[in-house]
Amino acid sequence: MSTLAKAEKKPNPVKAPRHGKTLGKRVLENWQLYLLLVIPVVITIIYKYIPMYGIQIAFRDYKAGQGFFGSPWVGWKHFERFFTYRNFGRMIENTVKLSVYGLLWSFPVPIILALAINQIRFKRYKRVVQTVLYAPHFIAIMVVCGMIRVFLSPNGGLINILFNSANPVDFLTEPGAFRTIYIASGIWQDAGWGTIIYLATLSAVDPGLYEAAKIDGASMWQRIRVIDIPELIPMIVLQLIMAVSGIMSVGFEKVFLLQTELNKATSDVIAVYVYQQGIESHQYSLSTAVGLFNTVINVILLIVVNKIAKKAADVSFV
Amino acid sequence: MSDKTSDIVLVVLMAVIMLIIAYPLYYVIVASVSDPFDVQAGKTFLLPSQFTLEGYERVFSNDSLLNGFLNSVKYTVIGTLYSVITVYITAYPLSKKNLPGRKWISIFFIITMYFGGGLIPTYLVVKDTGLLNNMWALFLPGGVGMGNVIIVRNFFENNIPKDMIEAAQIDGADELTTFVRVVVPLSRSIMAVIVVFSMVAFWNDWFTAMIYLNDAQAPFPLVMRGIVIKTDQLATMTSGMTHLEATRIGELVKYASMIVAAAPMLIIYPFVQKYFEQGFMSGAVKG
Repeated sequence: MSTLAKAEKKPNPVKAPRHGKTLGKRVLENWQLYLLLVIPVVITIIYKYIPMYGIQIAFRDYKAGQGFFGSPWVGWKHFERFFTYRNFGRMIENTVKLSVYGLLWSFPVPIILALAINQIRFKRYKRVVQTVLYAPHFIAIMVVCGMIRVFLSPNGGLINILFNSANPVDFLTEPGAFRTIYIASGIWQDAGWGTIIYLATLSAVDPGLYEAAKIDGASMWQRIRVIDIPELIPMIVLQLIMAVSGIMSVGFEKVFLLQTELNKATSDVIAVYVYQQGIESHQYSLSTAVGLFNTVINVILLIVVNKIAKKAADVSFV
Repeated sequence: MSDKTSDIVLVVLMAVIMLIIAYPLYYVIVASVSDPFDVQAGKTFLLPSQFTLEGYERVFSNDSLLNGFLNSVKYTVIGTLYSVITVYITAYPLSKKNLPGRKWISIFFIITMYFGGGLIPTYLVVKDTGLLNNMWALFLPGGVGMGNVIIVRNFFENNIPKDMIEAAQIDGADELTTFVRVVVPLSRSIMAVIVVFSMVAFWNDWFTAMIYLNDAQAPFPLVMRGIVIKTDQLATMTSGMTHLEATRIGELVKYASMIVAAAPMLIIYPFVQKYFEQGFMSGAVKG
């Protein structure tokens, strides 16, 4: 956000005197542009800002008739209830483990893929590779979870036919298999898509650099190490900051669709609890409190990681 | 390693990766037109066995699935229109560098990318504004797609020639006319990307529909949930059949419905693929 502010500060002081018009006149002149913004602003206030204001029900006992700020104030009651819930520890552990393991396994894959794709010299082949690698990103989570279910089914599922036909396993009832299933399918679906941002960064490399390196006799691996990787570092740090600040937000949809009674020991995460308490059990205030707890941890992580990155690599995001 | 050797290694390596990515999809396509018992016996790794289209016939002759499919088409068309229009009318004013208040209006919108009310406060606002069981609950709570706004705004700033806008305005066109007649037509490439992103989002959505809409309004992926995840819908579909027949139909419908859900989006994205990098780059430079 700070880069944005900086970039936009400059033109105003320069342009205002040049036009030689008062602010009021310039506002009037642009009335049509403001008119365009009316609908987006109204929608954003109603569906984005009012809900933010409504977060205060985390500290109230929400009653439908009394609304966001008419319901009685109860302070930390809902947070205490959440912290003393018997599965609290398990949910925190599952959420953090699923995210951290997911990050460790998934994060490097698009970088490595992008470095490799960038070295493909046959334009046509490169395009085909990209088309194929992007494909899973466009498939609905529901379909991906359906595929996971049929592939892992003990009754003639692909994985069991291939590796275990003698004694088939129902993987979705195995708590020990849940994280692997979640993370591996995530890499399958989004690693290819994740290369775009790195490929775009690499396309900014001056082709002259590669030519010079080739004349100096640098191999493909040396070109990657000396030219490509340094070029990617700032983007990698940026992506890492964003990923770490989202540690507490695991993809709800996939966990929800892959959860079974028997794998809950590892699949029970905060996001599913927020949904169940809020939408299924109508515990509006409790659910909001848990959601807020999650958001606060994410914001703290964002600030901390941003500080570390600033010190370490002189890159910052906010 | 010489460059030629590295090239060969790279090409082979990429072929293997493509195979890993594409094979699961290929397997589902093959299974959707094969006899389910042959699928379970491992006879369909490469080619269909006892080719049949019965799975697809069942998908489109089932009332719930057909209704879900038609709902999805409707939501995708209207949602994409909503999304593209709101993105464009937000991005154009924000691309005007000398618009008074531009900085503050930008911040007002960008904050919503990082903070939100969360599930329940949003749900309560949707409920209080009377949108439960209303199609618009799928579109309005998302607000304006700010990721797309930034991509389009940067396109307006960098890729629309200033002199074309000035020429139009010298000819007496006001801002709205310039926007509709000059800027929108010149931005067709980026619009194609936004259209595809929005279509994918609405076509694949089920969660929003699950919390805000009723059963008759369910989109295809949500009806599918009763086939491939919960299997309650599947049980209704196959009630009265023998166990063997129910298994056969059930498996066929599972595979076929997955293809019906996935195919439309897989067919359209390659058309705009070449703009992805451009879009992401402009989005990343000035977040």
